[in-house]
Parts: sequence; C-alpha cells; structure tokens
Amino acid sequence: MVVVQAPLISQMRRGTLQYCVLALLADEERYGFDLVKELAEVEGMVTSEGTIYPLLARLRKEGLVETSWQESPSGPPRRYYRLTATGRAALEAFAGEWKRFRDAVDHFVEGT
Amino acid sequence: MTYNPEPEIEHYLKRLSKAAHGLPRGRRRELVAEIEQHIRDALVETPVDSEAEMLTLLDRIGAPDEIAAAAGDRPVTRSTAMETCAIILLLVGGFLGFVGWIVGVVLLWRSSVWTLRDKLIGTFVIPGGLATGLFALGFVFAGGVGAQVCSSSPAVPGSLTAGKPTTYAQVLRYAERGQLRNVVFQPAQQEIDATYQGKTLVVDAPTDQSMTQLQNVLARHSVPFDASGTEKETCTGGLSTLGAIALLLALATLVMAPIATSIYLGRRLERQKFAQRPEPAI
Repeated sequence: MVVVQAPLISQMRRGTLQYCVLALLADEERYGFDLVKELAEVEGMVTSEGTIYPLLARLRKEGLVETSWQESPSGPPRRYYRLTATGRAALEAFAGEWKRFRDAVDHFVEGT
Repeated sequence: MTYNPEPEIEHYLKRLSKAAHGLPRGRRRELVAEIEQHIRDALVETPVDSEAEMLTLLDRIGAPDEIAAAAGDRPVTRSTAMETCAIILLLVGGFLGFVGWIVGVVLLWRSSVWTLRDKLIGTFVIPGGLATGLFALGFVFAGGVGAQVCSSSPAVPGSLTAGKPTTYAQVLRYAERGQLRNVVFQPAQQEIDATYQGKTLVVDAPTDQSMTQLQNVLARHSVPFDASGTEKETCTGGLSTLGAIALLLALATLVMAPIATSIYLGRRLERQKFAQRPEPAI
C-alpha cells in the first residue's frame, strides 16, 4: 500500500491552516474556543486543537488578526479574534492564488 | 461517585508548562492559560464522566510537546549576537573597569533565551567574572597573605653573629662539662641563651637536631633548661597548611566558577536555539 508521505500532508496543513483561520474570521469576530472547534470539526484539517492557539498568537503578532476581551455570560472574560485590514488583504491574495493552484493540480490529478 | 477531572487537568497543564520551558515567561503563561480555558470550555460543552473520556478530550487538544513546539516556531531565526556578547562580557568584562561586566548583566537579563534560573546563575557566579578571581589571586600573592614563614631555615652550622662570640660547639663543650646554667632554647630566633661562669651567652643554634642534642646533654648533667620555646608553633604570620589549602581552593573556585558559568550559559543558548527549530505538527 502506498500512502502520501506524512510530512507532505503536515506541510500542506501548516501552509494553509492560517488562511482557513483568517477565512473563518472574514465575516465575524469569534471566540478562540469556537474558532478551534469549527476548524477541528472539518476532518483532516487539525490533528491537535491546542496547536491553534500558538498559531493565533503568531497571527496576532504579525498583525493579521486583533483581539479584544469580552465579558462572558458564564466564566471569565473571553478573548475574541477579529480580522485586520492586513489580514483581509492577505486572505484575499491567498484565495486567488489558491484557486489557481488548486485548479492546476486538479487538472493533472483529477480522474486518475 | 462522580469523576473529578481536576487532577488530570492539572497534570496536563504542568506538562505543557514544562514543555514550553523555552518560551519567554509571559508567552508561556499566556499559552497555558489559553489551553486551560479551552479545556474548561470543552468540559462545559460536553462534561466528562470518566478518566477515559477526559483523556480522549486531552488527546484531541494534543500532546504538550506538540503545542509547545508550535509555539516555539519562529518565522525568523533569531540572531544570538546579543547573547554571545553577554557571555563574553560576563566573563571578561570585569577587566574593563567593572563597567563591562555590568553591561554583560544588562544584556543577560534583557535576553529572552535564558530562564530566570540561568540569569540568576549568570549574575551571581561570580560578580565581576574572571577579573574578580584574578584580582583576588593577585591580592593574595602581592600581600603575602599566603606566604609561608614557617620554614625554619637553619643558620649555617657554627656561624657566628656579631655580638655573639660563642659557637655552638663551645656551648656544647661547656654543657658536656656541666658548666651551663639558665639555658633557654628559642627556636623561633634560632638561638640558645645560657649563663656560663656568670656571663650571658647567646649562640646560634644550627638546627633543630642540634637543639635536641644539647637538651640531651643537659638532661644527662641534670641541668635545668627552658625548652618551652621548642613546643611553640614556629610559624609567624603565615597560615597553617590547612588554611593554605582552603585559600588555594577558594581562589581556584573564584577563577573556575565564572568559566563554568560561561560554558553553562553557552550550552543553554545552544539548547534554546535548537529547541526552537523543530517544525510544529499541526
């Protein structure tokens, strides 16, 4: 049995995951837990939920997302994530590239 | 009995905190707090009734090592020039009038590579660095603190000093004839005082053995003598052998400790550099 090399899968995930996060934030701001839950619900996107938090921290550091604390009906205040203008620009640029890349790969791989 | 997930949570967060050891303190605390909140939120959503369910939940969150590795991933390999400067200045900066060492300490504490413990070691072992040890070494040898003055370098046998016109051989002869009185041995001065026919004699004692020899002769003739001087410690102002060894050890430590600290900090620096390299598994 031949399987796709695990490092390749993990590299593809790593390269695209941050744009999936940005895409989730495109329409509304979200609480970290909900964001992670939604990402994890899609099969094959996330293997360790915990690793999303470092990713969110990096996106914040790079200015692609910003955060704000909001009171929660139950429990301590929650940190919400929201897309910045830079983040939106990065997301749009990636979306265009991704479609072209996906179509190109599909062109060869589809139907095999 | 209801299942209490707290011990499992605490254990997991401890492992995470340990795994994230290489992160700056603030970042590590934030990460642990975020993961803890995630666990609490997950528990509110789907409460767990057994350890198995709790472990499944933690599995989904991921291994602490993985999360820490993801957090340690840095887009740019950071330069360690500042850290290298810090180590060098801590070691030899003391030679630049102590200011160099102070600068080293400032750089040490500003770096995010070292942990609090590393920084404390770097600061207190040894303030001033190598300069302190070498300064102490110079001070000790220049001041003669450690110089040995115990050595009883004997005078040349039979030598005569001005004003002491009697030789040891003569004194010995007088003693053989039982003509000496009030004999006092003074090993500290390498002298023997005695009274011979009403005159006071002062004679150089060639060696310790010769003193013993004379004492034996006097004892044979039952001539009382004062040999209390020979019992005394002949060292004056110097250190005992034990003290000298302790001093040498202390000095060696003063010199070696900053070197060891530099090597330690250098190794920690290397370790952190590599610790930040592994690719995060997502």
